[in-house]
Order: sequence, then C-alpha cells, then structure tokens
Amino acid sequence: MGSLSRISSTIKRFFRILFRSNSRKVELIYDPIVLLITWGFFFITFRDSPIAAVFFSSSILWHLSYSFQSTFNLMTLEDVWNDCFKESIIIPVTFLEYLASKAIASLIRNLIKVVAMIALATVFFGYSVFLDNPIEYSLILAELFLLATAVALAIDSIILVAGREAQTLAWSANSLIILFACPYYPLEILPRFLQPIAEFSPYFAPFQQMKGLVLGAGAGFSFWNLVPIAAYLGISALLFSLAISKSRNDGTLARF
Amino acid sequence: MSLAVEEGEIFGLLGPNGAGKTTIVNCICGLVSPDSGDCLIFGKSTSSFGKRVFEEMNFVSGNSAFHRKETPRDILSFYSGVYENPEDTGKLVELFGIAPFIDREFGSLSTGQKSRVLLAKALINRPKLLILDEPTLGLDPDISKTVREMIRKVSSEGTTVLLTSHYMNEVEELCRRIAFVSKGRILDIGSVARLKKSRLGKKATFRFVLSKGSTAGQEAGLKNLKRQGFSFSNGVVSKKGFPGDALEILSQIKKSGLSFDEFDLSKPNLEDYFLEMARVSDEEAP
Repeated sequence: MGSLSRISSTIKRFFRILFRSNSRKVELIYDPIVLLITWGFFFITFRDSPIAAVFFSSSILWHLSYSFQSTFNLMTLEDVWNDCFKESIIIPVTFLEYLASKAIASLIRNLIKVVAMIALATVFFGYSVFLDNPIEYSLILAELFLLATAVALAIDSIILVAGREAQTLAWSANSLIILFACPYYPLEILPRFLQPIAEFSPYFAPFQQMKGLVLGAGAGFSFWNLVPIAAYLGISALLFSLAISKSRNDGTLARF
Repeated sequence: MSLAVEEGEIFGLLGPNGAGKTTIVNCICGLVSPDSGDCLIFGKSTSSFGKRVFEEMNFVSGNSAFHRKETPRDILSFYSGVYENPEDTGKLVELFGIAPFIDREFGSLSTGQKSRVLLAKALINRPKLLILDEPTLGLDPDISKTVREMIRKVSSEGTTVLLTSHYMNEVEELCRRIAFVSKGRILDIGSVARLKKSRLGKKATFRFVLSKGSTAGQEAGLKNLKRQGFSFSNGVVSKKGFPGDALEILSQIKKSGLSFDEFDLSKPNLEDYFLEMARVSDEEAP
C-alpha cells in the first residue's frame, strides 16, 4: 500500500505538470501527426517497394523511442528548471519508486501517441503492418520503451553531474544512438569498425526485428533480447546511483 | 564541528551569510555529504538511514520551491499521498490561510503566499524533526506571528525544531539554545541567556536623547562625555555599563551641562550578541 500510494501520487504529479502546459499538450499531438503525414506520403509514393514500408515503420518507431526517452528526461528537467528537484530527494519516495513513476508516466503519455499513430497510419495510408502483427509489434514497442528508459536514465545521470548545460542531451542523444540502430539501412553499410558498436547499441535489435517483420525475413523476438535490455537498465541504474552520490559529494544536489 | 540537538527543543543556528548554516542543514537532509564524520538523526546515521527517515522529518528552506504550474491544492495532495500518516490538508489550509489562492499556480503567488504553502507542506507528515531555514523571510507580521505560534505548538507536542533566521528577536523568542556558526565552525553554543551573559556580561546600554534646543556649550559638553567613554550619534548619547554604574553615569551626564529630553536603559539583546560574535569571527579570520 505504501509504495503503491507513493508511486501513484508521483505519477499523478508528473501528469499534472505535463498536461497543465499547453505547449506540452500541443507537442503530444503535433509531432506525431506531422511526422506521420510526411512519411505517409512517402509510403504512398513508393508503395510498391518494401523499402517504403520499412522507412514508414522505422520513422514511427524512431519517433516513439525518442518520445519515451525525452518524456522521461523532461520530467527531471521540469523539476530542475523550477529548482524543485531536491524536493524529490527529501521525501520518503525511494529512487526506485521515483524512477518507476517516471517510466510509467512516460509510458502512459506515449501510449496516446502509439494509438494515434497506428490509427492514422492504418486509416489514412492503409498501412496495416501494426494491426496485422499486434503481438510482434507490441514486443518491439516494449523493448524500445525499456531501452529508451535506460538511455533516459543515463542522460539524467549526466544532467545531475554536469548540470543544466547537459540538458540538450535530452533532445540530441537519440539522434546519435539511432545512427547505430540502422533503422533505414543495413548494418553492412556502416564502416567495418562501427559494426560491432552498432550491434551492441541499444536500439539495434528491435529495429532489426521490425525490418524482419516488414520484409518477411530476419530475426524475430527472442528471450535473449532481454539480456542486453537488462544489462542496459542495470548499467543506467548504477550510473544514476553514482551520479546522485557524486552530486551529493560535490554539493550540487542541493542546488537542483 | 560537533553539535547535538535534543529531542523536543527549538534550536537556533546563527551566523553571518556564508557561515555554513545552510550546509549544515543540507547535510542533515542528505542533500550534501559531509567531508568527514557523520550526522545522526534519532540515533541513525544519515549515510545509512535510507528514505524512511523522511517520514519523521521535514524541511523548508529559503530557496525551497515547487513547480510553477502546480497549485497549492496539487502540492498538498501530492505530499499527503507520499507520507504514511498525513495531516488533514483542510486543517493546514485553514491554519495558513491558503484557501483564497488554493487553485492558483505556485509561480503566480506572492513570496508570503509561497512561504505559507511551503510551511503547510512542512507540517503535512506531523514531523518529529522540523528543519526551518529562514521560515518567516518575506512574510507579513501577522503570518510571521502565526508561524511562530505554529513552531511553539509543534514543539510543545514533542517536535524537535532546528531553526535558522536573520530575525534575532524571533530566535530569542523561540529558541532555548543556539549555536553561532562562522566559517564552517561552531564558535559558541549554549542557552541564549548564558551566551549573552558570557559574551556581553550584564552590560546594558544607557541612552540619552539630546534636547533639540540645546546648543550653548554643547560641543564642550559632548567632548567631555566622549572622554569618559560615551558615544554620540544622531542626537543620542550612549554608554554601555552595568546597572550598578547607573548613578555614576547619571552624575557624568549631569556634570556635562547638557540637557536631555529622553532617557532609556536597554539590556543586551541577541542582536548585540550577533554583532559581537560577527566582530569576533572577523578578528579570527586569517
């Protein structure tokens, strides 16, 4: 009861903050619609090529992974911008409860986007891959959500240590990571020395699963996919714990 | 630095700006790690107490804030959800007069209104330890009075209060014991009465307000008084001394030939003590 009450109160707080701002409400609808329409027209233009379906799917999943991650970071940044992050430290909410609340709030907020994007893609552009493979796509989305949470946690850690100067990572880090996930091109296109890095990069496996699904060939979901996800989450949690500790030692935690 | 605050007491931390008061408070709250040593709350080390200790303590500082988009209703609702045994929020709203602005965004509230919300939040978990860093800064006198009454009330119910304030009358009125901090060290610790006595003795200030019309021989008279240890500023002649010196001081005044409109005798207060300690800490500066 105690832990659930703390988590649900924290989630409600994040929602009040995220949904009370008009710009955040507009952002929730505007970004996915514009992106979907742009890539939707691309898909219609090259409908006969399977590459068009890969591009369309990749762009949607790329946006969702970015959105899962940036929403998580945004909740930290909202507190940092308002000088009230330290208030989250001096209450009985544990770090695990705090991080779980942020992840759940991010998931719920972005489920609105997921539903809207799938509906628009299906209705307006006749793109039915999501509805034809609901379980497979749900697993890919779940993997992306967990990996985006791990990336966001690492970014939070950097913000806690480096301060507000590092806040741009919340918007820029995903662009770099996605480069290695090979969403629009095969792994072999990358220079040879980058290929092992790409294979171990966070989003590589889910994007390969998506390509396999759309092109009808390639790796599907395997429970082994959960191993790197667990490793990424574990490393990020460790980084966050070290960042809190360093920030406490440096005296910067009291200034957030 | 070694400092112990007893359960149930109201303890004051005094010191000039940059003395280290906020760092002490931040160490107690777990926001800053001490360079060495340890901080114990109810006998448990802050490095190992985990989050459960925050069920028993609360904290408000001069730079505490909430998200600008949250309303006092949101804030109290959130905090009552994270504590095991929260106070009735309606009671706190009434105590601090929050009702008229309960649905306004925190960012649009005045300093006084923000302080009231922060104080209401500080009492929401019925804390056993309440840390207040400048709690009445920017508050109207009536709200300041309410805050002082609240501090006395929670203290009488067994809450330990650690208070920092720049209002010396407030500290003198509320605190049984104080510590004077300077450059990260405790220069003095003890009861307010004992510290004043040890640093200032029983010296009082004798003040005489010069008559407005008196000009003839004034300069000579003032010179004479200054030679005898009197000081003169803004038409007021004053001298520090023990109550037993009163007759001698009055006789010196009489002999000066000056005429006065008013006379008063003030005992040393905490402000005199603060100024004396600030002087001492400046002298000790490397």
